[in-house]
Amino acid sequence: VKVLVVDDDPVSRMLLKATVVRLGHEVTVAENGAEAWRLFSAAPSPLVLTDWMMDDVDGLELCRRIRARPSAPYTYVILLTAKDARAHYVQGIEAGADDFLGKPFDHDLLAARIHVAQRILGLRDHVEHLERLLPICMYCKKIRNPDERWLRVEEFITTRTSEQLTHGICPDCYVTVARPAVARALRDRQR
Amino acid sequence: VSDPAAGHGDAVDEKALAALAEMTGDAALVTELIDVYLTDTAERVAAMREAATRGDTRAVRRLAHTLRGSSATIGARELAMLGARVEQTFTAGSADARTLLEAVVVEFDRVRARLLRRQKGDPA
Repeated sequence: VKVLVVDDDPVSRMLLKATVVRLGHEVTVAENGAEAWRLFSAAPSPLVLTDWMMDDVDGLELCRRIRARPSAPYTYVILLTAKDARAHYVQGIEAGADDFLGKPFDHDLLAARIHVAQRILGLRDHVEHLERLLPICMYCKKIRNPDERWLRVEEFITTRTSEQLTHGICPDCYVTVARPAVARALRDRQR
Repeated sequence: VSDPAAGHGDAVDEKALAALAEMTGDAALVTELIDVYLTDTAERVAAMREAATRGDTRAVRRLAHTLRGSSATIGARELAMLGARVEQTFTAGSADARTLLEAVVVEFDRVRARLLRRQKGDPA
């Protein structure tokens, strides 16, 4: 998985990078929150491993910015905290963090946390894939909405997208449906 | 009152360094990490003294936070503890401000001497 590692402490940054690479992941590093946000905006990574306490854009702010993006693929954020920061976990969760890891970090815990992150990102992909599958009636072509109601195609499109529909007739249906129907109507009127 | 400058035991926990080598699977990387730590920490300690002279408590505490983290990573336990003390209690101009920072300087010298010996291939 692609991982963005953010830490303003060069020792910790180097160590994190080496460890995460060794765990088999692709790593990009940032020296501070502002740089991380620039890199992330240009090429979002599914997993962000960021120090909490940094000057200017800190881990919480980075987290908030990542969460504020509209309709983007999910990013899993792990906040790195000094051991005594446990009391502030609520703050981290409210900013949108998924998990925490104490510093100096423990290798096995880091490996486990990344493993969990991958599992959750995988489930997320699966859900998004399922959401993209539309159940459509094979006879009348109505589509099942997430609220279980069966909607006509035009209702479905207008409720789920910003598209506005206008009714028309395609050339095929003009020949097979519309023209015979008009002819029938004219015949009926002549009777 | 105990002298905060008096270092107890080893300046650097050799087991922590061995753990780093095991974790990264790369002994050369540990040598590199130590180099980065020494350069960075020398700058950080200087910046702390400078910020203290300016009376900037917040900056000193902020620098101490990172000093604590990197020192703990490298196994410099005493220095990490001093860093934590500065981070939590340092107040520019207070009675023990100068003593506390001097203790950091002295302990960093001890850590540096120990790490430099190691870099030259002397493990003891």
